[in-house]
Amino acid sequence: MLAVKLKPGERLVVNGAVLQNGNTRNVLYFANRAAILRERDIMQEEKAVTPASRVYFVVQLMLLDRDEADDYRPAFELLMTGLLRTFKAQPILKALADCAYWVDTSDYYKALASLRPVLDYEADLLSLPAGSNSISREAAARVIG
Amino acid sequence: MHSVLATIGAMEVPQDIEKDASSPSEIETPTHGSPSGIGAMYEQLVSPSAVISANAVAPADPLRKVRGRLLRARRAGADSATIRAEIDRLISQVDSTVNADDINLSATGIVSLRCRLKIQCEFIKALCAALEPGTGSVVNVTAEEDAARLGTLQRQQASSVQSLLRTNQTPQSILAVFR
Repeated sequence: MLAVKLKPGERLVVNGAVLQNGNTRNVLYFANRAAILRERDIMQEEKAVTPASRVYFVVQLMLLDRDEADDYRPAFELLMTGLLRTFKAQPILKALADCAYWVDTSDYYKALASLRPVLDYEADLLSLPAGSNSISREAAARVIG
Repeated sequence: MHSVLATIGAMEVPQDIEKDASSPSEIETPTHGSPSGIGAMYEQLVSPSAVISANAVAPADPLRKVRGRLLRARRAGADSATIRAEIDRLISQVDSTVNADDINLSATGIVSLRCRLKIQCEFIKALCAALEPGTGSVVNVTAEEDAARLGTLQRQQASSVQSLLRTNQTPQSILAVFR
């Protein structure tokens, strides 16, 4: 059973319906599998401007549009192929394979969760000044260590 | 819609699709340095409608079984030889299915199907390569190399990919609530 903690006023999407919490903290328990997306996990399209965030956005579309999820498959596979060929860090490749697995089983919530470390890794890499050694070691150590 | 289909019809058919589908033993060892094939595919699919119509005309997901088996085998901890044998078997099954489907498809449909299959084959190949043991390397070297390749990928995608992300009405209305 999945428990989702909600702050006062926090919103979430459940199977396409947008729900908003009242004025107190609450915990919601989901007794069966549903398409859930918390407000803080939502990525707007204009933020999907890097290779990994584009994959995240496409998976998010699959979650929000489950009936038509196959519409997004070609885009997902194309973008994912790019990531799989780009990253060499083993934990990141594993996270990407996990994401592909969860997408294949239509569990998009877990697919999004498995992309989190990839987004963090990407953000670290993109913030590197070109040719800087020390920061990249730090970035890699955070993900790999 | 008509003009889009005409555009797809005029596109060059990926030449190596038969090779990809029928010779899985040629699955490359990891070639992490070259995302160049992707660039070509982006160009083919630069119109989002191209993707949509590829789905509309072609069988929805011809390599679904292959992908599913591969991913499950990996999670079960199978070694790469077992996974490859499994892929060999399944891809040959897909081959016969696709040939049967081709007969019933229009010329445009065949091109769309090939385009779709091409994407799937590349995806599965990339997944296989990524899952090969021993592709990781020393931590600090990896991060620098990854950063360089990421920059390349980012530049390749900049012009062509945003259009791939076209959103249907349903998710669009949900996302709008959170703006």
